[in-house]
Amino acid sequence: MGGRRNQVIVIIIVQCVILVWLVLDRFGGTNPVRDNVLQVLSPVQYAVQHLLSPLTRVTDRLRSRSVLEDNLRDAEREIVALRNQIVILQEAQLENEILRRELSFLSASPTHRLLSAEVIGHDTSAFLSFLIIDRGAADGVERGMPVLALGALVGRVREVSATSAKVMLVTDPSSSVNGMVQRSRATGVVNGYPGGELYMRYLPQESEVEPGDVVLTSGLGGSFPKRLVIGQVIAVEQSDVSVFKSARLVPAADLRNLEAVMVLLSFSPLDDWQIELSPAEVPDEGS
Amino acid sequence: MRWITISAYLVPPLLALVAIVQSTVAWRIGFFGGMPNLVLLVVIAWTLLRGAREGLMAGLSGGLMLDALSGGPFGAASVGLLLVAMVTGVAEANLSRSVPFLPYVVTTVGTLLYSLVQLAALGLAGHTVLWGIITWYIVLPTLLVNTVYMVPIYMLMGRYRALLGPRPLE
Repeated sequence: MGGRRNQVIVIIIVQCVILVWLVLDRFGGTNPVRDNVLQVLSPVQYAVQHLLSPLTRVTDRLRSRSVLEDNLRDAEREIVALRNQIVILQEAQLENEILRRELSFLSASPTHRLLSAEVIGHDTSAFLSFLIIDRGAADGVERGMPVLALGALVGRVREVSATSAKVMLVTDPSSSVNGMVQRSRATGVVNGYPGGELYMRYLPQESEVEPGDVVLTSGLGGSFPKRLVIGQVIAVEQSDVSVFKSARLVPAADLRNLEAVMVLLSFSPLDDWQIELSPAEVPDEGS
Repeated sequence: MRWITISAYLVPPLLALVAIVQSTVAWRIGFFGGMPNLVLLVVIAWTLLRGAREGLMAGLSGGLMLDALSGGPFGAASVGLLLVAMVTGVAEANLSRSVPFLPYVVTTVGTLLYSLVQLAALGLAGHTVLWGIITWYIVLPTLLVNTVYMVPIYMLMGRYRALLGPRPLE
């Protein structure tokens, strides 16, 4: 009974002390007490702080590391998404440029009716230069039709199936196109050559041909329309004993990296004989 | 004894796939002006690993696929690959123990034989064939490229040969 009364007395004393403490604190009277207590506790606090600081540093690091890793992962994801967007935009820009050029070619030659086609394969033989395109007879493609890329001559349709066609490139050794030097109007025959170059042959000795000259289709023979760009002269070969001179050309179209081409539907070749292979057009190996 | 094994049925779809790869990718993975003939290499490897009968089937299947995807005369690739499979089969049966590096020796001989058949067929069909220039600029680089590509192809096919079951008896 006496113990219970003592407990009540202790509680009342503690409450009174807290009350007095609160009143003193309100008027700043506890500062000396607090200071003294802090003076005693601070060295202990310091020691504990220093003892535990490595541990807290490790946990802090772990926490910040996991936060950083999360941030890094987010950033990496964002980088990948942005890179993909850049690729898509670059692709769209390229497509845009190609379409713009095709459009300018179309508006410059309004009589041409063109059909766009995608390149779906190359010839499986290293000895032939053919492309396979995804348009065929069902789209109006016919044998002999010229095929262009960005206004430059690529070749002509050689075989047609319902949904695809094979195009013989101008660089195939069996290809033969009547050409004309744009500057001097000198005419000759442009043959394909192994290695992706072209040879313009039967140029008159007195004709003016220089490296850098542009060669166009002459329209002679009726197998191609006039004024399609074939290529550019890179070297001229002539000898005093020869009747003709010849020129080496690079094709105007980038034939190795073609992705899309245009089939000229509005042109029907007059002379199908040129599409048939003629051994008489075989160029000299030495030339 | 069964004349045709299960693995023989795998030949046409596999060769069709390789021919499509040949048409779409091969011209990008060549070097020194040569382009690997992946179908030819698979036919040679198949013949060496599975014998002449399956090799001939591979040659015919691959040849037909190549002919279908080429602008050249139809049948040139088929005849060429059949001949290569035949020669490879004979070489494998008679020389496999005496000739070291047989796959690479056969690749060299096979590439030359296939090129010869192709060029002869092109010439007969009226295509322009500049023999000297083509040999120097196309055949010789292709020979080198094919030999290089034969290393991974033969290793890969050799590794998975067990999946095809026992080799058919000739």
